[in-house]
Amino acid sequence: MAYGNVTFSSALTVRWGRGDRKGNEAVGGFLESILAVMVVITASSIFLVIISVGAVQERPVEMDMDEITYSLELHGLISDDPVPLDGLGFRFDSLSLPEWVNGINVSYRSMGNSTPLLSLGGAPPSDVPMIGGSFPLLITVDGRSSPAMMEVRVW
Amino acid sequence: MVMRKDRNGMAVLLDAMLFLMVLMVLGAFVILPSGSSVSDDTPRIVGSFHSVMLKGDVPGGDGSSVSYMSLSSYIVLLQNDITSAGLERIGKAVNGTLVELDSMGYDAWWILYIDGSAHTFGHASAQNDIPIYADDRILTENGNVRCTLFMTI
Repeated sequence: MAYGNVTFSSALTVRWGRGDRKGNEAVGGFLESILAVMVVITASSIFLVIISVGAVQERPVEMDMDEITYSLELHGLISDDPVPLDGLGFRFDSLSLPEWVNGINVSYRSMGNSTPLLSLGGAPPSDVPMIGGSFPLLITVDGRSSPAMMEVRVW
Repeated sequence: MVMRKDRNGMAVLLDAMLFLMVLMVLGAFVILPSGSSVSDDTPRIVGSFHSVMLKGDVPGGDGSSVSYMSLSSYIVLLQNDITSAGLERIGKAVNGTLVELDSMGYDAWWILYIDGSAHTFGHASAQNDIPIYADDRILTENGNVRCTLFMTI
């Protein structure tokens, strides 16, 4: 490879060699590209950290009704089989709930009737977020199974 | 030689930027909360209410053995001798469920088919352009007795 100056007929002088990192067409050399990659990586990392911090701060504790339903089924408070009204208090006392639950209220009433036959748990406060659900089921009273609604509220 | 190194550098830079773009998109999908898709739960609701209604004992309070019989069994028992008293008793058994669904904002009615004749309990919805959800149950092996719970939102 030749070094030094070369003069063409168009009087354009081109210099090439080890000392000249910039060619006619390239934007930058190899080291410059590495530096650009490092800058991009740093900027992207900062961006991802900002996104993740914002997402973690904005997401509150999720109140999952499926967890509650599972626990109620496990303790026999909801079932596809007829549920005896007597003894539900004992089952309710042995209920194990997730840590995020501050209180729970479970009530049973005959279908089509708004008056509860049985209400378990404390009265829900009026100024806290709450989730709940209603479930049709059979309750047994004096040996007879009747259609009923079970309502649960969790806060 | 210098020109080849420059092209290599540009290629590396482009690959790195493409990789980082893909990484950022994946990271955004993972970190940002995803919305849960809303599914129509109404068919399950109709089925649940209908199942509970048919399993419930027939109201009566007279202490007879019929009072401890499920609605579905009572209907099958009555299929060959359906009387107005029997229909009245069936109506009382069904009424609680229909009232409950009405209080939840649904229009619900129940039709009992015995040997081709239909007995309607509740009031069918008069609206024609809304979806109707139905749960159909066949109570006998030959299919001559069946019932359907209808529900609209």
